[in-house]
Amino acid sequence: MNRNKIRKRAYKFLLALVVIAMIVFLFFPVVAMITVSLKPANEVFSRPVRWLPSEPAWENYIEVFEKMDILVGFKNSIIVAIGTIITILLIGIPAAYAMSKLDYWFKDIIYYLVLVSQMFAPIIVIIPLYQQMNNWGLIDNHVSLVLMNVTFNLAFIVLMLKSSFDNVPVEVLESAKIDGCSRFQALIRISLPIASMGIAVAIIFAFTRTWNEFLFAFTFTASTSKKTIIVKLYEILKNNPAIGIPWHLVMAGATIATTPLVILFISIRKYITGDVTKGAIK
Amino acid sequence: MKRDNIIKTTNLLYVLPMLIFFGVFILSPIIQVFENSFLQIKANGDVEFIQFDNYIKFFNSKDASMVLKNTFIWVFVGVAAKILIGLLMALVLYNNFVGKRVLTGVMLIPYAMPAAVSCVVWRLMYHPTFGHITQLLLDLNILERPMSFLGNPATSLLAVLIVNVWAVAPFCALNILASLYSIPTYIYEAASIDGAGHLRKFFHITIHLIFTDVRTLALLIGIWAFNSFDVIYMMTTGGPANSSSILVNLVYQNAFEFNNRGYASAISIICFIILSIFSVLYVRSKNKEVSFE
Repeated sequence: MNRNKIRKRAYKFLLALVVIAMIVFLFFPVVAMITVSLKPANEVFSRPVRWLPSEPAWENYIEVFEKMDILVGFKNSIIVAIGTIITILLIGIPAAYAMSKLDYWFKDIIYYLVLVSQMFAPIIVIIPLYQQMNNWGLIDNHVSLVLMNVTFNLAFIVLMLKSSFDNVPVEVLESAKIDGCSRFQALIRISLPIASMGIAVAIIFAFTRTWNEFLFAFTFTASTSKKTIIVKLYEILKNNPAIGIPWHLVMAGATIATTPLVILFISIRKYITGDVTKGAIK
Repeated sequence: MKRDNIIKTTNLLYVLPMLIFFGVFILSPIIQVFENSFLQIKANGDVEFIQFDNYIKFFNSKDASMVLKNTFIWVFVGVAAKILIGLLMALVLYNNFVGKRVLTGVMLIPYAMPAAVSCVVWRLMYHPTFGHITQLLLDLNILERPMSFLGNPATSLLAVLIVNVWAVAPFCALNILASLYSIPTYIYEAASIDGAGHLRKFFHITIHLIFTDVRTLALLIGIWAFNSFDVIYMMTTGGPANSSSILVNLVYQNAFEFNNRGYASAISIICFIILSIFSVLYVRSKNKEVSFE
């Protein structure tokens, strides 16, 4: 009996240790980002490294907007994200609906095509895509970024939408048909409202993935007025000499660029492994 | 019968826009890359058909052995680390303790952070003079003097790999946790009655039952890792001297920095072949997934 108790204690102690190790491993960088973002300029470069700012310098968050033209980056990221979301829904909803509820030629082949295209690395085809966009005059233009983000998120989003349309009972659609609904009306009037939660999650995923996209945003834009926030952040490091990087402002910018995403992600966390994304993420 | 065929044809219109996107921006470019891989494309636009020379040049180059080795380490060591750490975290979260719900919520932060942000943060932490990690290792007397983890060919790949593991492990943890919860508790109860201890239950039941799910997950994050150009590029641009480059970095470098498009296309095709193999494995593994209901 006593031995059992000791065992249980030891187990609990071990568990606590692992939990603490986990928290340190996962959040140390996050804490580093926030603390550095609040350091006054002179403490950033002090050695040995100060773990905490002597007093929080909130003005960094204002200065980053004034000095680094982060606002333009934000605007560009939002434009590209909204363009991507609208296009992806216009193309993805009908496709996902058909894949879930309708019969058409080559249904299996198209399903596997979507599944496999999800695995496809954009970098493999970036040379011809760059040439294509160049021929269409879309380099340094947000339209090319929208097209690329749509292409490389479409499969993922369609699979996600398909599984939320799978939850719409066939009986409901059949009774609508008897009442004289066409197939397209059945999609708009009945399936969309039922699948609306899944669509909301899909929108958030499309938003976060577009917001985070680096390869095309970095390669296809040249002028500073067109660059997304992600590229702008990276370029502060790239364009400054190693010794002169204003780390406190970079971290303030990084915190600002992360916050909306973290909130969105945590709000949909149960869908990351849940039903809606079955077949999409995993 | 005939009407069915008409419906099947008109229904194709629903998926047509999607297929057009795939055709124009994936299928047609990949065919073009395939053609380019047999060409030498000069800076002035002249093109010469050189058969397999680009491929031969790649496999004979001194970059190839290093980059292939790096890719192997990046993908396989990375996946193993992500899955093991993810499994450990999932097993911890399977227990009940104070703050568990909060922890499962916020642990996605590393995964939710934009890659550019995490790279910026880790680059500061690795900084030889102002970095937290350097300072910590100095304080603990593990390091005698500051070193540049990202600027040293011996440590650069490992340093970037740690960032990638940090970002993806929580995603693995939540997925494995979902698999753990899908195992009905009566299986464990039955095993307890049969006298099985914790360790036996873990090795004989848990590992067994989550194996298919974890295999699918491993293939998926392996494919992601293989494709993850951005993390490496933003941390080290593949350097120093390609010591942290994987295949996709080599593609980008040759395409946009050396303007060597035929050669870059040949490497792209090699990537494509490797990816196709893993995609087939992934789809097959996914189709074998089981549920216990």
